Amino acid sequence: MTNRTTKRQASTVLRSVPVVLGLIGLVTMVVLGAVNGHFTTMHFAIGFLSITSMIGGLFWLQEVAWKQTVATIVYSVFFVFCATLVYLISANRNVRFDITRDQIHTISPLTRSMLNAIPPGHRVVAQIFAPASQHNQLARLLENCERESSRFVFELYDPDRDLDVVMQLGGTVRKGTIFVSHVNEEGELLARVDRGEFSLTNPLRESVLTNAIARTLQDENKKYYFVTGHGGKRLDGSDGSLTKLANLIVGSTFPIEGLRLAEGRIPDDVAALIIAGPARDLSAFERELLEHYLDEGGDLLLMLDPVMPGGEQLTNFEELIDVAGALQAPNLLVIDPSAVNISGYAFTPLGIWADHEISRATNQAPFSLVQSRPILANPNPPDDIEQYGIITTNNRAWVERLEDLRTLSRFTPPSDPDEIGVYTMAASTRRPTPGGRFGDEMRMVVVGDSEGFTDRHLERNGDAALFVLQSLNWMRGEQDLLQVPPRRLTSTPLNLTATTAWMLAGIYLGLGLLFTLGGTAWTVARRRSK
Amino acid sequence: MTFLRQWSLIFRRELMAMFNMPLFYILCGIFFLLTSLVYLLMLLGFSRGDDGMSVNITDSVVRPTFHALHFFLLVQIPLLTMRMFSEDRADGMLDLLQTTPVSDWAVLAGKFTAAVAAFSIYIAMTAIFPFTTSMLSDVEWPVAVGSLIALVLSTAAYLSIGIFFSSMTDSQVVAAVLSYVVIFLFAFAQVFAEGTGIIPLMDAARHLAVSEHVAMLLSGNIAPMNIVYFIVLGFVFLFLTARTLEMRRWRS
Repeated sequence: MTNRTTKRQASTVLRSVPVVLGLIGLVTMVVLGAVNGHFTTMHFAIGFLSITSMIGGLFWLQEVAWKQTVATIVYSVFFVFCATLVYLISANRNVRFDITRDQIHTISPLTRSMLNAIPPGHRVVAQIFAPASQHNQLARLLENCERESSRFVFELYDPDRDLDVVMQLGGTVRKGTIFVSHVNEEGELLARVDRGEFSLTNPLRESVLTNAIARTLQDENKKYYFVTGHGGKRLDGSDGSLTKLANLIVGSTFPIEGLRLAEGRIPDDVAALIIAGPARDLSAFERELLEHYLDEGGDLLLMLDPVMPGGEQLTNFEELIDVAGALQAPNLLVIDPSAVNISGYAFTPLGIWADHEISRATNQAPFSLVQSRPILANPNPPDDIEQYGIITTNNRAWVERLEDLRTLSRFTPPSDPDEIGVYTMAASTRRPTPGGRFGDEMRMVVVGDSEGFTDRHLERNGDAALFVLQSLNWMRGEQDLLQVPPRRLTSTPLNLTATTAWMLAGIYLGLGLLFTLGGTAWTVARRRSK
Repeated sequence: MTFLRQWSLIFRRELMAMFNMPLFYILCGIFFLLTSLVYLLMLLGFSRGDDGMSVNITDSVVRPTFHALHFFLLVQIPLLTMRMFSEDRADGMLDLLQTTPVSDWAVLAGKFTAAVAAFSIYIAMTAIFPFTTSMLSDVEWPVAVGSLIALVLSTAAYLSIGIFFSSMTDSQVVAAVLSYVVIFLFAFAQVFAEGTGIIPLMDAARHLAVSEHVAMLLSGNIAPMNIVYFIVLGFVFLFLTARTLEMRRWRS
């Protein structure tokens, strides 16, 4: 009898070995992976073997004949296979219901229309090189797009591992790059754009993908030219530069290149010229070149800062916009008493979006300029010119001469009430130029400030970037198409006072204690009564 | 005796057993208080406008609280399921049950649905968080209700895993340890896979990981795929449990 018991115990110990080994294997896998900071295929192989060993061992522990054990395992594997199949069918016929109020998981109508614009037989392939941590989030957005159009395909890559794809795409790929390719029925590559825009802290936005698809379908190779040589804002990565804005522009639309007007030629592939915060005036030759460019249907984004006392007056710039666009930008300073000292700047006016094609596709959240010139309409514009304000102040603003800057700290409103009112700080103008070399219509946007768009201010001034992006889109007539407004959640203010907080704490504590103590007391009482 | 009658008998017996267990009240009470603490801290952070919180209370407070509750449930479930079959195996009750005309599936379904019902009551209690908040702010009820359903579904899947391991061994400790290991593997499969950086593995883990499906449901992005996942996962482990019980019958 003792012998039989010993034998039985020895058998149980033996049958427990696979379970114990499985557990040790699993713990080893987790510990090794955690120590190394990452998991490799080897860890997974250990994990898989461990689980198999554990479950197999548990079945073995049941002390059933081999025949039955094998039958059970085969039967179970078949069932798991069928269950997996059911899940995969449901995953492939994936339908989603976005039950959030703000529809934050649904792609925008703009993206939808863009995806539906892919010609039959053609394919748009998005190849995305993203950090592993972003893959799930990206996959959700991309699956939404894939669901909308079967002509859209996406592939997620890791640039460190998928070196063959990296080499195929030019070898300059890093994490955060998206390539969008347009392929026709024969599999020929028609166009490819790359956007090196998103990162760990700045995930891929839907607008970047939409714009990339739009660019691929349009098959255009345009560029924005950033005019240099007038001591204006740079793209050198410094706080006072427009580097972040330029990256956003490149990520959303066309590449940017520098251009010196003194070279005497504006390239044919220009999408628009950007002049930001010039400190030196145009030469007569440069002014003539720009006038000619605008007469030929060219587009211009001009950010013209107020000139501080002692600075070079920008007369040619002022005259250029008056002649070409019937806009006046006198060297005055807009004073907005409601927004002084925002970000430590004395004359920060708050920009309010006016009703304009540019503002319609935005969230129209106010943003601050640092110090702005007023942009006024010429009282007698030519008949063919249309001018509209884009960004204005509130109705309590006025303008001051910059020579009076030292006395402005008092912010005394002018005695004449007619001088107080709404001032425009950014305006657009358009004029038909039939048969022009650069297009059939000249479009220009003039802003009275460039400092508010610098790296130093841009991140805290989100809609400032949106203003520039949307202005550039408007100049190309794509204001409704290309700017996908970022999803915003509805603000739900909370009316929580200290008393209410204590009351809530009391309710939760009371309920928790009632459940625990009440339940325990009840079970004890029941046991005693039995 | 029909299957329904058999199931109803076992269900009532198991539900009463669960409610007669002080451990159930103690664990649920402790985790309810912990969830309350998390909720209150988030609510205070939201009212102060802390960094990293959005302007929407459902997104900043309600959803993260239910996410935290999901992890608390992971910890609780094996402790409560460890006894479900192990105890019956150890004291011979299972042998007795298997000699009666009650089918294995009725026993299993009874135990499983009783555990799901008990946990559903506990999860329903947490509806007090969005309810009280809706008096102070504007809560998105579809998302809150969807989150509660997601918690019930994930709980059911975890319970089936716990029950399976409980049916495998006489030892409650072994059952709890094995349940923890497998539940945590399912819950965090995606984290492990992300560490490897192997994209096919990450794609597979995205489908396999419970936390991924829970996160989708909690965020108000509902797909039939997520619901099918929980049902399939639950059924797989219940099926394995049924096979284990059947093997035991052969041994008997």
